[in-house]
Amino acid sequence: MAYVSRRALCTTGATAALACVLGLAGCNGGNASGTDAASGSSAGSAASASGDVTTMTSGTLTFATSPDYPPFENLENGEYVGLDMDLGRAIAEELGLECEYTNIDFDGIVPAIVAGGQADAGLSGISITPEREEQVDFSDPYYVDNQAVAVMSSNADITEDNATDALNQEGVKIAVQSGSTGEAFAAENFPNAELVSFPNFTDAFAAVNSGQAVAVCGNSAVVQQMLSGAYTDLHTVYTSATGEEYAIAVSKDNPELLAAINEAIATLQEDGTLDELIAKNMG
Amino acid sequence: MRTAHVRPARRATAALVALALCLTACLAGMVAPRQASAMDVVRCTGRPNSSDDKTVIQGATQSRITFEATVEEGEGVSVLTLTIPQDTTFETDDLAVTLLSGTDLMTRNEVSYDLEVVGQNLVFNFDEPLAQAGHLNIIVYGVYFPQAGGDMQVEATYRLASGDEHDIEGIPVIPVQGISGTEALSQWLEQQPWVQAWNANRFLHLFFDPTILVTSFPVVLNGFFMSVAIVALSFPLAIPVALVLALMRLSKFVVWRGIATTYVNLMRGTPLFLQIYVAFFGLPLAGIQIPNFPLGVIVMTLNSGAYMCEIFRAGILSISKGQTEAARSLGMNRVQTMVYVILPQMFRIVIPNLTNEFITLYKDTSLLAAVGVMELVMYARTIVASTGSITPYIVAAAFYLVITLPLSKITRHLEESLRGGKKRKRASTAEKGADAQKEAAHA
Amino acid sequence: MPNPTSASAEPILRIEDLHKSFGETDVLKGISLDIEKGEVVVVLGPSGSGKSTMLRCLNLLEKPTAGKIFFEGEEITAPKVNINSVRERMGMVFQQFNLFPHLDALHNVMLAQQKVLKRSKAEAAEVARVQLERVGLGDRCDYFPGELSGGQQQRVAIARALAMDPHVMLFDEATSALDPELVRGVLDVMRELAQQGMTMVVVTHEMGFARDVADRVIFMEGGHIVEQGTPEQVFEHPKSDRTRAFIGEVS
Repeated sequence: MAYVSRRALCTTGATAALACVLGLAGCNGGNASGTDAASGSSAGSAASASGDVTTMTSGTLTFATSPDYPPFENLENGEYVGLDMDLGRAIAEELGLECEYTNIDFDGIVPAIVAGGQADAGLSGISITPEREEQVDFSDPYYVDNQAVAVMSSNADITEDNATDALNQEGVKIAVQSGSTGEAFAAENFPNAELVSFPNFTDAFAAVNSGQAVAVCGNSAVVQQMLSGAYTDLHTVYTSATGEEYAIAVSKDNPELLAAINEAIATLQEDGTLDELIAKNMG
Repeated sequence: MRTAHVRPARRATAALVALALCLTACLAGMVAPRQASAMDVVRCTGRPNSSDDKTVIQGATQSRITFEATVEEGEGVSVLTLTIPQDTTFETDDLAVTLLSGTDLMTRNEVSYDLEVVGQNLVFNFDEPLAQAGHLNIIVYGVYFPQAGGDMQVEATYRLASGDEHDIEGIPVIPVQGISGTEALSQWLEQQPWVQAWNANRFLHLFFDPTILVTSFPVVLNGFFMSVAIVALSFPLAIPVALVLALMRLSKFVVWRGIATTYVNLMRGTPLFLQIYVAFFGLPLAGIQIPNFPLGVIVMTLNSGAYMCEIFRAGILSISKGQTEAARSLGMNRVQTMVYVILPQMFRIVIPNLTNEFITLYKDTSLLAAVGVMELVMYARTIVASTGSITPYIVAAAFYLVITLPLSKITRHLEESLRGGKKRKRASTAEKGADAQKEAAHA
Repeated sequence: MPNPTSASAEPILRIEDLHKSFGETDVLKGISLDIEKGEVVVVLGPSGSGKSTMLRCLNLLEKPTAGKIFFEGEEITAPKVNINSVRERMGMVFQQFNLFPHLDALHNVMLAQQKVLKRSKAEAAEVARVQLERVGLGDRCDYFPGELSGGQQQRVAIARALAMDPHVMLFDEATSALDPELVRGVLDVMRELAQQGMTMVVVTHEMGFARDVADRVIFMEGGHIVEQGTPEQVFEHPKSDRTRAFIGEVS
């Protein structure tokens, strides 16, 4: 039931036939009446969605983002840069809208979407979870998360060869960003280790650098970005492809917008734009 | 039975997949092929789903099983059967089946299959036998483990193209705990019509969701104890620090005064979060390793000490010079005068300001969240981040009020009783008038 | 009544050419004075004449700019003198009472006994009761200063000083802050004290007290001692015009 909405929509493009099957499967599989209705309507209105999308400010699509998560979102010289930011602009262009970003702390984004008035959608490396789906609707995922764990290069105890076991030990402190996929991943895969949560991902790295924690766990692309920048004394000892999916959060009151965004994502996926943006930002 | 195909490609384009295949092939060529003997399990985990403990998987709450096993080069796995533990429900709409390949196993390859569900068995009939080396990763969503919990054993068998059937050995159990009381209460609440009606109001849902209220309460309570412990230690510790600083600032010696003034201006003039960063990330780099909790207490003590210093200094200065002169004229030395005459009076005067400082300190413990000290706000923030509801912050606010409201009341009492002395009980104005008459009579 | 003129004993207090200035302002411009044991000296003079400053110099609440003060044969203006031990033997009563507001009357009187004289709690309490009884406040032991009238507070302050068994008592305008009807009680206590042989230096505006109780009256003006003598000499036959004018004004 909870996972229905993220695959609720598909386009009718020839190459998207497989995805369409999934979409229908999503509709059929729904066993909660609320999401059934939502997915039904979104699928139905998909074709005409881009025509009359209601947004906060007419003609503008406003995304809430927390620009502290390069290479997904970051501020460079006052400009919003990163994969999510490029994606947001591309989606807005598809929909014929102006793209705006508003800066909200990560843990405030979903509440802001629920409350409305701050932003039309949340675009900030938000992964789909059952809890969040109680509050908002998610678009189709546009990115699947990889996780990485990094330690000080000088650390001889934890190496690429023994990381799986060495990290899952009592007394090993792993720094994570609170509420992130990295936190969930570390909790699931290294249950014996002690997790130290930081509101800001940068601080998790600072904690390893200063010896407050042994390892840092988080999105692989973000970890690589940090390691190539401020934290060159660390190196990656563990990577894993995971099932966490990043998607755009939209108010449950705005299924038209959700449908339009999904349509745009599908188009961008189809014409290779999304892959280009991923390659550009993760390179 | 329902057939399901592949998830749409998200990252890898066909070209990328081809490239990866090439790469793998090359690597396989270089590395001597190992004997294609068996699929080995890499992991079998459940997604933790308890708000009490981030690593706990509990029953009757939505979870997810991630199963990953190795596939050898040329092994040719044609069917894989995954057996979900008894009494565990799951959904099959959103299965993710991916073959991870490449040297770092980060390349995702789609796998086409037909799915057959027989009881607890998920039977994957692969369109093409799996022949590429890598890890086969299967994620089953919408999993509900039995409410009572227990060690959940996932089983798996596979059939090779040759028709041989093998079991995958050594699959780790998934330890599932019985559902906690609050989680059960939360789930029960979720079913109640009045809760559903309540949550239909968007404001109430966002700020006062009863289901999240009950689950976040015990979690935030942990942070409450942490915050209270930090304040309970750093506030009393800050008092002597502040006293010494205040006396130094009032000292005749320029050096003492200079040191104390510089310190106070530095601590009051820079943001607390910066001081916290310096202590938590700077000190270790200077080779000073202090565990989180004592370090947090030290930082809060030193910061609060600076603010309290000014409170004490003002308090001391507000006491009339005559008090010192009277004490000194009786032969009491500087220290005795301070300890027995000035300070007791000062403490009375500064109680309201000290109370404010206590409340500020208590609320400022939230800044320690930035460096990983799990205090009140940090616990709440974690749940807010994962649920997207503001309700845990409301719970946190309640925990603040639990301390600050009674404190204000106690302080008011304290002030009154100190100011009044025994006056209320005894001396009425009439009696005082009588005293004056008596005095006149005495003459 | 002790004989102030007894020549055999050396003076209990001797002031030699005492100067005191606050910044540019010279307040005391050379005061010399001997006070005999058991003598009651009343210092008169207009405001700003330096009489309070002189008194405060005696127990070193003000540090003299120049000049010497001898107390019981010891030069207390010399460096390295233990000021606290000097003050133990010199009681002082202030215009503003300066009782400790956080302590009741009994504990006001006990505090310095315990901390300075190291008397036991019981002993200090016993002495305190006796002294409070002596100033007529035996029934006010557990009253806080805020609950006492000004006159009562000043009498507690006197008891507090007496509890230290001082050899000299200094009174700095002890009745100036009191309502007129409360002045009598305090003056009576002071008068009794004088009769019991206490050496007293009293700065006051109470002419009647000076006339009745003083062994010697000193008239100060502009940082100088203008005139001194028995009350009779000073009040009835003043030598200086300034003294005459002052006495005329006040009375």
